[in-house]
Amino acid sequence: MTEIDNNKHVEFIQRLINKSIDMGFKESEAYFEEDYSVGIQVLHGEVSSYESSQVNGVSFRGKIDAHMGYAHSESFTDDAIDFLLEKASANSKILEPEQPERIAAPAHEYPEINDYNEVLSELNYHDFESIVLNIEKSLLAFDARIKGVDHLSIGYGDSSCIIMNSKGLNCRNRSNMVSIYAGVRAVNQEVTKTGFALWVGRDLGKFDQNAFVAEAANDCLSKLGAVSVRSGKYDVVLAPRAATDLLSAFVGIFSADAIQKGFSLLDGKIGKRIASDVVTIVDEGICSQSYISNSFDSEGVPTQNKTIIRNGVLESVLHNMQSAEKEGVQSTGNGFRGGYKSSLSIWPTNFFVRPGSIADDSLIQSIENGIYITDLSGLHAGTNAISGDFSLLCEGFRIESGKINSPVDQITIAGNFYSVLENIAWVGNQLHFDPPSSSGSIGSPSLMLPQMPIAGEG
Amino acid sequence: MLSELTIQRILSAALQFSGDFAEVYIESTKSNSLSAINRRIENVSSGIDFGVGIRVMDGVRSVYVYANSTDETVLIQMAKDASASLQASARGTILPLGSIKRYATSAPIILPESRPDALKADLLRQACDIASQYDKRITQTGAGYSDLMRDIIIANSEGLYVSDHRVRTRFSVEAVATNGNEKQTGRHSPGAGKGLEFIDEMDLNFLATDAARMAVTMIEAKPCPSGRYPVVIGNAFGGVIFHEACGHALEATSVGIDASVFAGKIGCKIASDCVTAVDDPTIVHEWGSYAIDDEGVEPISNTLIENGLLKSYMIDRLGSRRMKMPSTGSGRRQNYRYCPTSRMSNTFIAAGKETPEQIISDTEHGIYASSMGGGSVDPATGEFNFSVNEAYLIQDGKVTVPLRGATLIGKGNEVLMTIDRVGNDLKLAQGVCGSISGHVPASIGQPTIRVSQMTVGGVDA
Repeated sequence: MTEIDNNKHVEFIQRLINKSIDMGFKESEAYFEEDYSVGIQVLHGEVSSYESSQVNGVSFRGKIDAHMGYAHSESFTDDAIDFLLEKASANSKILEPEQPERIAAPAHEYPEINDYNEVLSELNYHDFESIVLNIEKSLLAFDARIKGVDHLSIGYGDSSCIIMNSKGLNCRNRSNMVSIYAGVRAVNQEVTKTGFALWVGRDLGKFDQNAFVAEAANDCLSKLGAVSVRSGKYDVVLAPRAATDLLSAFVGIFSADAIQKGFSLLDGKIGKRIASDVVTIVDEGICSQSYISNSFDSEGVPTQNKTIIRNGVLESVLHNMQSAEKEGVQSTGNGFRGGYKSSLSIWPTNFFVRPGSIADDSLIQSIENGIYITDLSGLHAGTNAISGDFSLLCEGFRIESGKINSPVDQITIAGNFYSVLENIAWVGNQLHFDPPSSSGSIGSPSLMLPQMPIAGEG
Repeated sequence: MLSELTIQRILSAALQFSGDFAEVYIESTKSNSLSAINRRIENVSSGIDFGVGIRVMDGVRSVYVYANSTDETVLIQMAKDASASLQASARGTILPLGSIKRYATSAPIILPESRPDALKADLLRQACDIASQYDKRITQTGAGYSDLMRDIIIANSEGLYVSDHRVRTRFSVEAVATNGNEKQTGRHSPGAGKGLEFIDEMDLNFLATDAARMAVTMIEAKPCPSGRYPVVIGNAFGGVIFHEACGHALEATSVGIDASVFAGKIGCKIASDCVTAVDDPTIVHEWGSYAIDDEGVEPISNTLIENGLLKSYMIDRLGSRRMKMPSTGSGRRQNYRYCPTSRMSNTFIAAGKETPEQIISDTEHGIYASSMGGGSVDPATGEFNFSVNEAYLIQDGKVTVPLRGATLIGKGNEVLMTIDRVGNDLKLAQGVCGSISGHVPASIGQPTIRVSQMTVGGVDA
C-alpha cells in the first residue's frame, strides 16, 4: 500500500548523532519510528469513515554530564536537530536518577524474526472494504435480535523502527498487521446487550469470516436475559479473555524498576513461592503463539525467552539496562518505550500463563455452584497496581452442577492479585492473547479462583 | 505553519473528485513534563509535535487523512487521495477563506517556558517532602508537572478560517502509605487552561498533605461490604458518576447512530426532578474549556438536563448531519492524528440547596464515597462501573469507619432516576477523558449527591 523510504531519515539520524558528539555529548542515541496506517469503518451498508496516515518522529537521548537527557521531535529539519540537542542537554542537568542510564553496545547476535508480510502490504482499499461490508451483512442476518453493528472496522498498520547510537548500534525492524473489530448490539424485550469479536493477524487467508461473525453475534446474544446473583462467595472461572485482562492490569508488578522503587510487593521474592504450583508464567521475545515477536528492545538489547514463575516459584523479573545495572545483573531485553514521545521503561514482550493439559469443560464439571466470567470492565480504575486490590464490574454465566448455564450481569468481583496468584486452583488449556500494545502482549488460558467475593443483589 | 494559499490548494484538492465538505486542521504543539519519585527527578521530557489532518465528508460518510509533513506536494496528494476514495457523485463548492479570525482559549500571564525547569523541579521535590513528612507510614511519594502550548488553524470549504492558542498546565502529587504488606495511595492532580500562574495560585501544602492523609486513612480502612446501599457521593471528582454513566451516552457519537439509551428522548424525563446537568466549555481558564472546538465552532454553555428533563445532546459536525440538529461546538480531538467527534468539556451536575452535612445526617445506614476514582461505561446499555478511592460507612447519620476496595456499578438511566438529594457544594475536578477521538482534557463535577440505592462491590461478601 505504500513505499516507506527511510534513507533520508537515516541520514538525519546520522547528522543528529554526529552533531551531538561535536557538542560534547559523551553518549547519544536516536530512536526513530514511522507508522503507516489505514482504517475503514462501515455503518449501515456503506463505508462511513476512511482514515489513512503516515507519521514519524524521533527521540534523542544523550549524556552530556552525568545524566541522560531526552527530547523528541516530529520535524526533521536542521532546526529540529538544534532543538533536540539543546533540550536534551538542558533536561539532563535537572535529572537525578538513582542509577545512571547508559546506551547499549551492539550485540553479537539478534534473534531473527519475520513479522512483515509483503502480500498484506499490497492489498488495497477495496479488498478491505469488501471484507467489512460482508461482515455487516452477515451479522445483521445472523439473528433478528441483532439491531445494529455500531462499531465495525478494519485497520492496517505498518510500523518501522530504527535505533542508532554513538557506540555503533544499528537496529532496524519493520512489521505489519491487520485487525478486524465488530461491536454488535442486540435487543430483546427492551433490554440491550453488546458484544464484540476481534481478529488480529498477518495472513488474511487465515481469517474465517463465519467463525468471526458467530463469535461476535454469540458474545452479544448469549448475554440477553442476564440477571444479577445474590452477593456471596463463589467459585469463579475467569475465561481466557477476562484472565488476560486481569493479568494485564497487574503485569507492572514484575518490573524490576517497580520493585526497586517499592511499587511492587515482589521485593526479595525471587526463589520464593508466590503462586500456586499450577502457575507457570513466561515472557518470550520470540513467540509463535502470539501476534508479534521482538528481536530487540527499545535500547537495542536482544530479547530473551525466560521463565518468570515456574510452578509457583518466582524465578526472574523484567529488567532494562538501568534496573539491571543497579542489581549487577544483565538486562533481560525488556527496556521498552511507548513510542518516541516516551522515556525508557520496562515492559514485557509476550508475557503469558502457560496453559495446562486438561480441557476447560472437564475441569468445570467439578464446580457445583460458580460463575464463569467472560468480561471484566473498568480495569483502568478498579485496580490498585500497588496494593494488588481490585474490584471490577463483570459479566458471564452461572455454573450449576458442572455446567455453564444462564447469563449473569450487574455483579462485581473483588480480590487481591497477589492472593489470586496463590489461590489459582487450575489453569485451562486454551491460550488467548490480547493484541499487542506498547505495553507488550499479554496472554492467559482460563483460571479457576475458588471462593471469590461477588457483589450482586442483596 | 502553512500559508493561506497552501491551505486553499489543499481544500480544492480535497474536493477535486467528490465530497460536499472539506476541512484542514493544522496543529503545532510544544510540551514539557517533569516527574519525581521519592523526591528524585526521574523524567524530564520536551517535544515538538506538528501535523496536519484533512477531512472530506459526503453526507454522513467521511475520509480522514493525516501526516506530520509541511510539504505542500505531499499534503495535496493526500487530499486528492481522500477525495478519490470517497467515491461520491456530488462535489461541493469552496467559499473563499477571507481573513483569519484569531481566538485565544488561554492567554496565560506567565508562559510555561519563561521559567527554568530547575524551579519546576524544586516544586516537585517540595511536594514530595510535604507528603512524606505527613506520617511515618508514607513510604513513597511522587510528583509531576506538565505543560502544553498548542496553536491550531482550522479552515474549511464553507469559508471558515480560524486559529486558536491554547495553554494548559497540570500538577500532580501522589503518596503511598505502607502497613506490612498493605499499600494504599492518595493523589491529587489539578490542572487549568492557564500558564504558570496556575502553579503559583495552587495550594501545594494542602494538595500534598491531603494526598498523604488519604493514603494513611485508606491503609487503616476496613474492606468495604458488598450489596445494595444508599450511597452519598462527594463533590468534585464524584462527578465521574455523571460523566461516565450519562455524559458519554449523551454524545452524538452514540446518540447519532441510535446506540444510546438516551436516543430520541429529548423532552422526556430521564432523571429525578432535582437533577440539572450542564456541559460548559466556556468557563474561563477551566481545564476542559476552549474558545472554539476542534472543528472551528464557537461552543455554548449547553444545558443537557433541566430539572430531570432531557434538553440537549453534545453534537459535533458529523453528529449534526446524522441527527439533523445544529452542532453544539462539541467536536474535539486529542491531536491531528484523530478525526474529531462529539466529546464532553466541563460537565457537571448543577448545585442544589442542601448542605452536605444535612444529606449525610438524613442517611441512616449507607456508604459515603467521598473521593471517586475512574470508571467506564457501555453507552449502548448504560452499564457503568467506577472505583471509590476514599469511602466511609454511614451509621445513624454519621460518617464512621473508612472502607477500601469499593466499586459502584449500575445503569446510567436507572441511577439518574434514583438521585434523591443534591447538595449546594458544586466543585469541578480535572481529568483526562478517553474515547474514539483520543484523550482530551475534561473537567467533571457535582455537589454532594445521594443515590437512594446502588450496588456496591466490595471485598467483604
